[in-house]
Amino acid sequence: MLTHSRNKSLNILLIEDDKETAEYTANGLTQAGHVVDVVENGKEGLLHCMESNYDVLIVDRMLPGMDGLSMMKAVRASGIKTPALFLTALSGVDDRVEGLEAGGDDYLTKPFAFSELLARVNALGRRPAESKEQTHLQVGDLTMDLLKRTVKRGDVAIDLQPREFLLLEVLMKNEGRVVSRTMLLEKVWDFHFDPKTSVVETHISRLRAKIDKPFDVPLLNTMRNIGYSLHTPRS
Amino acid sequence: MFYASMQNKIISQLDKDLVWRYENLQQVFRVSGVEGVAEVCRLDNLNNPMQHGVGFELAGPNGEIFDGNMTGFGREAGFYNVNGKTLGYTEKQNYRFYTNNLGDNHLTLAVNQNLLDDLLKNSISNFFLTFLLTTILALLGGIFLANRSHARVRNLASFMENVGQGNLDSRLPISYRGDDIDNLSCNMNNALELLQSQITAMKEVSNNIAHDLKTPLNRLNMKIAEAINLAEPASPVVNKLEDASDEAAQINDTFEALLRISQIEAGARKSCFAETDLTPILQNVYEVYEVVADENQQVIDIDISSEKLMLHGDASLLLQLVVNLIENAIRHCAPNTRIVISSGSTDNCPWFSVCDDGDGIPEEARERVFERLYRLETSRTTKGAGLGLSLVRAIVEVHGGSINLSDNQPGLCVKVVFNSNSQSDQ
Repeated sequence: MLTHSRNKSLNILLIEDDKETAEYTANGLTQAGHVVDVVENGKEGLLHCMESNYDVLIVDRMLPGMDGLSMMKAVRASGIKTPALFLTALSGVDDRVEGLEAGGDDYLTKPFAFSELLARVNALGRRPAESKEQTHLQVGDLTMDLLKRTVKRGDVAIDLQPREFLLLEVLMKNEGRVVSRTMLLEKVWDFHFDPKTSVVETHISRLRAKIDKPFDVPLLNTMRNIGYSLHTPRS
Repeated sequence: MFYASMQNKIISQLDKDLVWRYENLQQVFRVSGVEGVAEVCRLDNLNNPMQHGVGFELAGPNGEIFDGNMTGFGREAGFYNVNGKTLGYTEKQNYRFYTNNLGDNHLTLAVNQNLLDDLLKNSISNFFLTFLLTTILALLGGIFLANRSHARVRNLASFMENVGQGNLDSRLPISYRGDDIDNLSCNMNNALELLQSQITAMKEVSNNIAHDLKTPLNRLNMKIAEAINLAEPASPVVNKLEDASDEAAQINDTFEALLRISQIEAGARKSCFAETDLTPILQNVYEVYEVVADENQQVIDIDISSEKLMLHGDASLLLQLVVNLIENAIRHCAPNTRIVISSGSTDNCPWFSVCDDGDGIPEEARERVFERLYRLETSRTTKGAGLGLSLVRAIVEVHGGSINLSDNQPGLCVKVVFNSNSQSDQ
């Protein structure tokens, strides 16, 4: 399983009634260095949320008794702001919107690739620390001024299209973490469906040509079948 | 003409009356002789003075006048019209005379026509007044009733619009009248009740299918992933397992696409429709796909309206619509193809088109490409389940638009036309 040194260990509550999915998911997360509690229904999930301090919640929607959506609403109503990800078989056109409206921060449908789940959980886990707005981002000698909308590597200014700028911003904000292809599609292009052409690959390759190719040290790394990660070379 | 025919009728009625009076006096003559007749006539005349009503003259065989209030007329049997002036009355009066024999004597009876003329005129003017009043009342009543029905029909129309936008909870009010509109409303309410329960049932079924089909698919996916972890890295087994994982993903994609099409067709998301501008969506898709096409040695040009193209819809569905059409063009066209995105507004109806100069689609297949799982033989080898255009059509139709495929000579031109914005506004 994938582990990244720059990911801090997260306390995760997994609310999932399917034992196999729960076990598989919990194992994976534990191997990735996180601490996982598993509960099987919404009521218990709500109690756990109130009693303990978690970094991330992973919530199934179709749960016995109190369903995931109602549980999430109850969690938010009681003032708990823990980032939450819905992990569910419900992938209908309205389902995602419903999930986000109920207080979810992200939505992933089953069947899912574990790497995708891990990337999203890691991205959610860093959230509270970054509540204050950043104006400058830096990865190695790559710098981004979010107010002036400028990008430099060392002293060399790099000219980016607005969409390329946004793509780089997402990658820089997730420095050292894997950002999956679908996360980029959602955050950069607002695509909540799977395109049949190589949209992400093409744009990444254009970005790489601007920020990496002319320079000695590559920062933008492709994680095969998973996504992309921006970081300085590891020793 | 109407007046003349009425007057003729009145004169013939007067003549009948005169004859009737004469026949009565004949009876009197047989019983009481000339004196009796004179007596009756005098009494009649007393009740109806000549100026206003009836007159008479009773003359003997040689013209000697026994009695009467007019003289020197009508020795010959028959009807006459006599002006008042001849009788020493005013010129304005007209009389109808009737002369006939009573034995050897002559009896002339007269009646004032003007009274009846006046009556006729009054009747006619009354008739017209009544006619006018009736017409006005009928018109006013008609307008009132039409307005009332129109308002109710308008209510029906706005109600249907509301339902069309996915608000299946609403019901039509039923009035106490029990008229046709009430019957219609009642039937519509029943139909809505049924539709709503069917949609709820469908949603339940698709949720259950999603759960029951996706749980094993998810487990399959997890088992393959675990197997990959256990296998020797980069061994042939890993390749086979990855192929298996791709196949499982394909099953899921096809299932997801079918479910999505059904949900869009059933009007999911319609309740979230809002005023949406098509122009930035087209611009966005162009910017995203310009480089993708370039990578394929194809060119995308954009020739879109700089104005806002507002329509009532869902931005994320519209985005997927445009993306599917552009991706179709990119995927099915050879290098060096030029793809053009155009847009505009005709008669207040926003439209956009995606045209290419590639191989196109044979005319006989143009309607079939919208069918679920239909694929052109030439594209069997490319990835995909043949659901892209079914989804496109479902999205177009849920927005009340139409889609048309035509020959771009060479190539394919896909044009999507939406309803006029002002219409969908309400």
